[in-house]
This record gives sequence, C-alpha cells and structure tokens, in this order.
Amino acid sequence: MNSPHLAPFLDALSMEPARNSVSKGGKAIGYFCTYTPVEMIHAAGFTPVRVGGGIAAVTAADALTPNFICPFMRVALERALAGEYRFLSGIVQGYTCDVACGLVHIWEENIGGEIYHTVPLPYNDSPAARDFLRASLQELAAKLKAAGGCMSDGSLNRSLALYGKIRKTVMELYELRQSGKLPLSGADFYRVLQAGFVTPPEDYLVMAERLRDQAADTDETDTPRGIPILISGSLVEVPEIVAICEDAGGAVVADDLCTGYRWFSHPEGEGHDPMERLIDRYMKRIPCPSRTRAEERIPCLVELVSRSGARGVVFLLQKFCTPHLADHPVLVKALKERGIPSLFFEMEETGIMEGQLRTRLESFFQVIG
Amino acid sequence: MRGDISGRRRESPGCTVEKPGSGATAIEERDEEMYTAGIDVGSITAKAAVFKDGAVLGTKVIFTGYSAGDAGRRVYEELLGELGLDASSVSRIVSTGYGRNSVTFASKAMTEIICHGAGAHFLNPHVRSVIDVGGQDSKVIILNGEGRVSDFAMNDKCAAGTGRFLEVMARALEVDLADFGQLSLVSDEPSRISSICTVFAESEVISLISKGEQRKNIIAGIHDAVASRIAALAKRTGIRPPVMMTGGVARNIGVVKALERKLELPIEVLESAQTNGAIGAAVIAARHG
Repeated sequence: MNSPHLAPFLDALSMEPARNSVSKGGKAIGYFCTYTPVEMIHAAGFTPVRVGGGIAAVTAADALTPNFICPFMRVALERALAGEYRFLSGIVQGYTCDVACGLVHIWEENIGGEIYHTVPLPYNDSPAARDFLRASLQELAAKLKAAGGCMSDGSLNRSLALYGKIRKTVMELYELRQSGKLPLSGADFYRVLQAGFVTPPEDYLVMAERLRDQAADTDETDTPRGIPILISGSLVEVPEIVAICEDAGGAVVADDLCTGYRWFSHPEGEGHDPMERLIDRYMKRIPCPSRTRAEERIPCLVELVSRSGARGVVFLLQKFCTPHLADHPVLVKALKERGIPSLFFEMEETGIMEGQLRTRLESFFQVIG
Repeated sequence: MRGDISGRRRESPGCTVEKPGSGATAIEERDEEMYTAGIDVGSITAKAAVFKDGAVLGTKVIFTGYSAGDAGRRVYEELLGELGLDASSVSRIVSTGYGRNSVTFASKAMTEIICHGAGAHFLNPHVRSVIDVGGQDSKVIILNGEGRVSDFAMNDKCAAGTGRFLEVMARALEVDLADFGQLSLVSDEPSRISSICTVFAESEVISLISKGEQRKNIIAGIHDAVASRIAALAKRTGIRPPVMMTGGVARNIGVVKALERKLELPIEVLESAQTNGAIGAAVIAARHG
C-alpha cells in the first residue's frame, strides 16, 4: 500500500515524537509490557513509552544480565545503556514475568531516573482480586504524584476514553485488513501497531484514524495472498520476521501477540467510576501466560484461528521465555486435537536465523497447503 | 506412460545406482526420454542425483566449500559427466538443502524436509518416520501412508546433535571421522558426556582424554550424547516405525546403534542415506514433469 498515511507510523518508530514531548517540558515514562496501566501514567500527565528490544549485539548489558533470559530484555537494556532511552524519567511495570520485574531494578541502578515501580497484579478475577488491584493502582497513583504527576477522576476518564478509541480504531484496522480494504503487508501492518506503543497517544489516535478512514473510503480490495496463518507469542518486534513468513508462502491474518491483538482487543472496561472501569478492562483482557494457566488461553486462540480463517498457527517465541515456552506444549496439543497444525520458532537477539526459519516455514506451508 | 519401476541398474563410474521400492509407482512419468535431477546443497556436502524411468541412475557427493551456488553446479555437472549425459536431456531440476536458492538453474527449490520425505518414501514406501541428520541440522519427519510429510521438527540453533558436533569431537580425539562408528561399537563402557553444548562437550572430552579414558569409550559416550539429543526431538515429534535414517551422520553406525537403543526401535539405513535428499528432489522433479 503506497499510503501517505503509512509514513507517520514509520517515522514514529524512531521515537522522535515521544522525545519531542519531553523536549517541550513533558515527562515520558517507560514500560515493558501491556499489563502496565498506561492510562494512569497518561492521566497523571506523562507520556507512556513502551521500551523495545529487537535485534542487536548485546555487550554492555551482558555484564548486568545472564544470557539465559529473553532477548527482548537484554536488547532493551543494551539500548538503554547506549543512551537510547535517556529521555525517560523511569520505568513503571505491571508485575508479569520475573525477568521484566527484575529488570526494573537493574534499570534503576544503571540508568537512573526519578520513578521506578512495579504494580502487583492478581491472578484471577474475584471481588477480592479487584480490591487488591485497586490498592495496587492507588499505590501507583501515589508514586506518580510523587514524580510530579497529577491524576484526577476527570483526567483518568479522558485517558480511558483516549486509549479506548485507539484500541477500537486499531481493531477496525484489523477488520479492514481482513476484508482486503487495508492492503498492507503483514510486516507493515505490525509496524503500524508497533508505532502505537511509542507515539504520544493523542498523535497516534489521529494517525490511526486517518489510516482507517483512508482504507474505509477505498473501493479496491486486496486480501493478503498466501496460506492464512495466525502468529502466536509475546513480542514480535522485528517486522522482518513477518515479512519472511509471508515471503515463504504464508499470509499473516491474525495474531495473539502482546505487541498486537492482545493489547488492542477489549478496548474499555465497565464500571461506575474510572478506576473501576480501568480495573475491569485489565481483568477482562486476553491474559498473558504469566498471568494465567495455559488451559485458559486455549478458547481464545482457537476462536481467533476459526474467526480469521487461519489454516495454521506459527508460534514465534522469545528464546528463554519461560511462561510462553511452558504453555506451548499444552496449546499445541489443543490445536492438534482440533486439526489445527502449528509450527514453532524461537527468536534470538543475535539475528533472525533466516535460513532455518525459511526452511521450516516453506515445509510447513507445503505440508498444510 | 508409466516408467520402468523395476529399478534397473546401470554401471556408472563413481556413481551409486539406487533400487527403488514400490513407492516409485506413485510417480507418473511424463516423458520417458527425459531425465530429472535433484541437487541437495548442504552445509558440508553437496549432493546430486539423476532419475529416469522410475529409477535413480546415479548420485554424486562433493564438499560444498565456500560457494553453495558453485557447489550445486559442480556436483551436477560432474554427475552428468560421469553418466555421459548432456544437460539438455534433463527436463527438470529440483534443488534442496540450505543452499537450495543458490542453485539458480534449478526449475524449483524445495526444502530438504519435503525432499528427504520423498526420497525415503521412494526407496521404502513403508517408512513412516525419517531422521535426517546433516552437517548443521537434525530433523525428524513424519510421513503418512501416501508418503506425504504430515509433521516435522528441526533442531534449534545449536550444533549439538549434528554432523558438525561429531567433526569437532573427531578433531579433539585425533580420530578420522570415518572410523568413529566402528570404534564406538567395541566400547564396553561408554563415557558420560554430561554437556549438550558442543563447546562445553569438547572441553569435557579433552578432560576425559587427559584422565586417560580410552578413545573408544569417549566416542561411544559422544554417540550417546548425540543420540539423546536426536531422540528427544524424535519423541517430541511423535516418531513411529518403520524409521529410516538419512543424511551424512546416518553413515556413522555408532550413532545409529545408540539411537536405536534410545528410541527402542530398529532404524533402516540405506547406502544412499547421504544422497537421500537429492534423490527425493529428483523424484519430485519427475512427479511434476
């Protein structure tokens, strides 16, 4: 798609808009995963910026982390040590996997900044669990206030509405792409989504709405070619991997990634006050394997496969990601029982291992094609 | 017209002639006068096979060296020369292996997973699982009754459980790799190699040497370690008999025997184990006329 509206997304990936918000006197706060209540960070007057990893040679971070943790965290720290995240005032992180939470402390000791906090989260949904989460969020509110933030019911309401609109718009982009009206390659589509994590949300909403309106207005349709697949995992931060999937004969039509569908689905929660709505949204969102049992992820995965028309699932998992790797055999078994084939590939910090990935993908597509 | 499936042999200098199993009946020959070829460019060796009338006429193996593309062309031209064939008589070429896309003159590139499955099915249509262990990859391929690949798994980015691992160990032990298999069979007490990492296992082997452990026992231990790695992959994939082993490492009887013990299954190894991928590629080329 030669869309002039695609360019701002690609530009935003450089984090320039986020840096600009800081140079104009604002503060940006980093976070690692989508269990971080960015709505509160935003409502307190800060710009939430999701920290990225990707592919890089890990040298400085090697002295601070073991090499058997996920590449995402190692590369993220490497980038921070190189000064890439100097514009952040600290890190707030929802308490998900141990590595993410451990890295908050390593980051604090080695990068500096004024706010570092992990938000304890409940594992199940019950009135007591919701009370627990409310207490956790009140603790976060106090931390944000201490860092110069100012959150009120009114500002939280506005932030919930803003993020709700962003999620709804991105879900519309998913549907437009599925219907062929948004003829973006899988790689470009995930670049659009990725920009949503590092762009000030007000700007991102405008960009996403423009892209949606442009796609909705077109009469042309061009559905992705290739064998339809769903990609499953946590972070797929290197869109080139999606490009390889499509070049090898697949068409990525759905995902359950935390850099994708899992963050943008379930736009808003319900409740009488903004905090209740925030809690409701995080309790009802599609869970991450670090927050739930594998069995509870099966219905969502199977439904996504069925709804998208995917003929197979490609698991793209971060090497050493214990929560996802532990769930993998259970999910594969469940998929197999339903006649859904799957393929597994581990991603590393040093590179894509394109030869191996292509061999597996081409074989997979020949088998299921 | 269906080709000759009797597997007639032709004498060719330096070439091996393979007798097909009844799996060849699945191949519909489009032109009985035309030959097809398969070229398998692996990380260590490049293999070629020429196929006609439902039979493999010859195969060739050379070292890959630096350029995968050059190796593919060279092994193909050398095989044609040995068979006294002109390139114009070959109607279709399928390339495979990690260097498959470097063989620019091939009609089509297919993965080695598909080609090893096709080769094994052609040579023995009863085979349901193929364990292919080459220079840098080990793969387990499950075939259905029609010889189609129904599932597969590959090792991750790790040399343990591959031909490269054995090469490193042979160097550390100053033993010719060709002697590895037989030497391990006379071991009465295989050493325990605890590490599954090639680098650390090499250190462990050096430590065993310095302790005065006998070579045959160390080699048997190395084969056990390799077999454990491959067996885990096989069990994860749901291996089922009959099992055939292909790839260069299948020529190592020590690994094959260790693997049989780990899997508690007999493993068939044909003379053509190393060229099975190229044979499969040539068979696929014939199938698609």
